[in-house]
Amino acid sequence: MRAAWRLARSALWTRKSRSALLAAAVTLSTALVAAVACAMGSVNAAVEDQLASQFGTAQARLRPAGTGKVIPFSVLEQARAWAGVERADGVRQTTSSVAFDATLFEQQQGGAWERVTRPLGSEALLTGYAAGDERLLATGLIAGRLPEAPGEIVIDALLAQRMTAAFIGEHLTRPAIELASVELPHLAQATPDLPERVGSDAEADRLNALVGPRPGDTLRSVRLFGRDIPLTVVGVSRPPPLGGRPQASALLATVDRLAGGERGLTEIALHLEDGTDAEAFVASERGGLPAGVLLQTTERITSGIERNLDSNKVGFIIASVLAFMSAAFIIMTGLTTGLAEQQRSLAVVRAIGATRGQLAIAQLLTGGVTGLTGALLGTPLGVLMAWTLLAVFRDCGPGGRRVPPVTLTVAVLGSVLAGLGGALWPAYRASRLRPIEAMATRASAISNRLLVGVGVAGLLGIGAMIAIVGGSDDGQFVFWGYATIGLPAMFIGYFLVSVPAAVLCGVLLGPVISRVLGLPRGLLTRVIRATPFRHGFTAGAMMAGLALMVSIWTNGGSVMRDWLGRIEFPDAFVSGLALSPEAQARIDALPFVNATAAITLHPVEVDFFGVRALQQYKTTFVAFEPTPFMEMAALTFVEGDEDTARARLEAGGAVIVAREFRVAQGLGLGDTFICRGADGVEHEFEIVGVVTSPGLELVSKFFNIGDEFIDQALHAVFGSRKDLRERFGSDAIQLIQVDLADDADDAEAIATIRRELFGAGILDAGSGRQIKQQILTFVGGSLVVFSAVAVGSMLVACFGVANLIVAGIHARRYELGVLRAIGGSRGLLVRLVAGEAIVIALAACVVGTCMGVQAAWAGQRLYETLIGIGDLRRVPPSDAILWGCVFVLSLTLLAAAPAAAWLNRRRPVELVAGCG
Amino acid sequence: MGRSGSGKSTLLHVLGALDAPDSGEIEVGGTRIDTLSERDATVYRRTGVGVVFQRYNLLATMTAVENVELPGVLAGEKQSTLRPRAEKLLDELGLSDRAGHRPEAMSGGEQQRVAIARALLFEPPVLLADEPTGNLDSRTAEALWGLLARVAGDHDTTVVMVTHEPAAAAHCSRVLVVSDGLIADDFETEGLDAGGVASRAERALDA
Repeated sequence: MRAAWRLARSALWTRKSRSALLAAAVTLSTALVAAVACAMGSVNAAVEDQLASQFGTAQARLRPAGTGKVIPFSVLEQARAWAGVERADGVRQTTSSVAFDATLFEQQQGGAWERVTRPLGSEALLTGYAAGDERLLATGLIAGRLPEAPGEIVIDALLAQRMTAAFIGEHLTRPAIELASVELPHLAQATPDLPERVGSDAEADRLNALVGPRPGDTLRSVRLFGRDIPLTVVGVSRPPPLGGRPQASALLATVDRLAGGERGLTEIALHLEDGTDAEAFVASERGGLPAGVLLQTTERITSGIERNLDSNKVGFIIASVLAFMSAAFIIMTGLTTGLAEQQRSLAVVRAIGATRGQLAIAQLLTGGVTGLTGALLGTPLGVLMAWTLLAVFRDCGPGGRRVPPVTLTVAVLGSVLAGLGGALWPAYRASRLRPIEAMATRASAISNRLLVGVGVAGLLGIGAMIAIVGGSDDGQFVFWGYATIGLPAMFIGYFLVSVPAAVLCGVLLGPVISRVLGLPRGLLTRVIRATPFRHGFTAGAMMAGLALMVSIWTNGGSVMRDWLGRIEFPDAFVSGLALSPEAQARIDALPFVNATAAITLHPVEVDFFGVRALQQYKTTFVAFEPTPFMEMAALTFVEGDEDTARARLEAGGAVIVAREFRVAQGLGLGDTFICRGADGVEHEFEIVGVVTSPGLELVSKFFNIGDEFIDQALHAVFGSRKDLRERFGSDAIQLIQVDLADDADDAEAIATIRRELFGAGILDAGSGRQIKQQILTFVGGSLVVFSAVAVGSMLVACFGVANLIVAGIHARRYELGVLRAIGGSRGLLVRLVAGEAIVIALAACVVGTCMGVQAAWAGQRLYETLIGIGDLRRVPPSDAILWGCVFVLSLTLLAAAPAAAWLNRRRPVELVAGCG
Repeated sequence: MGRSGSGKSTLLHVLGALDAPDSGEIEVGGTRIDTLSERDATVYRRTGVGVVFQRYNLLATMTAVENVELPGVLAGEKQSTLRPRAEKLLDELGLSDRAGHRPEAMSGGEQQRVAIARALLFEPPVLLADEPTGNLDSRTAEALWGLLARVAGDHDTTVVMVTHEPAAAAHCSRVLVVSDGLIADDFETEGLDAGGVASRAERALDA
């Protein structure tokens, strides 16, 4: 072992620059993986914090069976008396429009700034807690104290911000949900004494910046259909980790009064005594509950998000495996090239008594040290990168800094394994060195048969992926098969195919490139042909980033264009927890409103669906009044007809489904299925029509109605409100669909609706166009973020490419020296290196684009088989491909530049004498 | 001695267990070389024989003293025992001031002397030299032949040298002339100078 270590150390230390380049490639790969791990850790921590603030640590929970219902207070007393219950805490949630009568400066006609009083307000979600509730006690205050008496309220920073002078009128046009980006400078100072008027814009701005609600100020809960209720601000809290809508906390009595209607609770959290099994407890006590009240364990409630978090980890591990496989290939090619260069030396070492094992272990040690260096340098670098990004983009890094041990361990181990894995082939090659053969030969031609064999092996890997993804319509099989076998097989396949691809590029494009660069005919092609593996694997190192970019832009473009783009959203929506018929009537009365339709979104479970081991998808039962809804929605029937469907819906026991549902489940006109409500009772429904998607499931997610983190309802079934009342026991209005006049301006209409309904308990309002635009913006933004990851991947590969090009030059320095000795110029060698880099880049572009298109196809198959989004056209994005190829070419030439410069400075004798 | 392609290097390679014969038996110091296992052949190359190649074949990544120590390192010996021996050998060959230099900083003659020192680390009974002066000028070559002759006497080592130069052969005590894989002549050089050796070898090759 000592001997092997001595050989490895000598090789690593003496070729410091090349060792550094290899280590840099692994370091950057590790840093990227570590950065993603930390970012994910931060987001996951934020989700867990969000869950904790929402659900606390209770093991079981009581909820009303229907949307918009409450639990009687008597149930709280009943729950407290149950054996096994240590503590029971009830909460009540409601929406409220909250206004702050602010004194501020307003510019009058003529330019003077005069002091006025204006109401500044916003819709907010109010939650009422018992005084000792852990969730209330866990409120993160940034000013003031917790509520101790009825009428006292703690507002969160989002709500406080909306009641500052900077937000005058803003709430009318801004969506209610946003990431937490809150600055409240006014909290740091006491309420100033404001003069009657000020003379300058600057002074007005300075004083207006100090206007906003502080502890001690009075707000109004504005009630459109009743008297305003005063509330005293006693504290301001941090916004929720992941942002969301403006919220406030108060005691139960306060919120109960604000909610009006039937008194009661919207949830009771049960903390069980140590040793009490939650599932058994629920099973034994649920029978004694009054009708309309559900008892569930919190695992059932939070299991959805935990599965979602687990699915993120699976995605992270898959991405890490690919990143480290790429690094391993870079190391393998680098060490193998070094092996070729050191062949004579290693033969001598064998000749003087080294065993095969010692040479092999030396290679493994070299790879291991490279990987370990990458781990030691890359992990803290990645953590630093993540923390820097989280500090700069505080809004997007909600959970604070996290260093997740498990995923970081993946980064460290992956780096070391990449080094060892990449050294396996060179170790095998080194162990097979026979002293005489190694000393006798300088180079041997690679046979065409070997090239064809490698190409065939690569195509088999690619074909394996196609067979797995294309051979089944079972979403489970396709997903797991792709993640575990198909994706790695495709990756390795394209790496191998890179070798014949590089040769073909050299043969077909070599003459053109040679002509452009002024190289002797045939020289470039022969150089490529002489070492096809080195050139091919170097191309492979560059292809991964381009493939990623092509894939995400192909899929992203398809989703935006062929799915999202085709969804026709209705004109406008108003959302709330439980909107009243009076609110609907008020909207109807507006002059620019043609019609409204009340909608309820009710989560149900069906018998099929989803990637069971990962994210749990529920179905939304979208309940509407058939006649007004169908007139407004202008549905296009793919199966069935509108008249028949409407009549059946009115009669009950019938639903219509979206086309994606039909594709995903294979159920269509005339089929039946079972729906289960929250109480577990089964109801059979018949499908009476298949329609193009009205997009209501997306709208419900946009407005964050219901338990956003729990249920991911990507599919909906559309039924009648009659069925909702009779079968699922609910009739609250959560969404009002609005049909606007043709000449109405969206933004003005929404602003007017919000102004008119301020105090009517709405949560949010938005136009269909605005919703669609925001979704498209989000998807587009995600594509940009993923592109940055792809570019990062190419930069990582750049270091590997640099190492390979340097190693290649060193391995051939004798031949290059001879070329100079017989009359070749310095420029010739530089242009030769540039020509090789161009061939490598072109091969990478071809292979990378093919792999990207294939990966995009796989992504679309996943959409089709898992969630039923079909009809996506695969249109490779020419812009992204072009820019990606330009980037690959530029990076490859950049990577070759230092080696070319070194070569340019060498005299012929230095090149020739350097061998031996 | 022999013409190009006569088999003289091949003979050296099989003597050094660097290559295996197609048939026949080989004995070196009473040990059958042709039947050695891979492991035993490795140990033999390490301790039973020393090899000096035409193209110096020092490891460019190691200093002179590290190159000399290398067979000992491969055998698992500690540096505390290896270093003094290596330095002594370098001193003996007039290279003590080059101990810390890498091959690129040494002349051809110096590199070849380092290779000889490496070959002598385990005091092998046989030292094989394959055209050791092929890349050296005549004066340096002359000095190296004299060195090899001295080493043979001082270390009680049989030096088997492949050469096509009569001047080199004249420094040896015995010459085998190889032609077409067979020994064409076997004579002692006492009383013969380079010209005499050359004539005798020429006659054997022309016969």
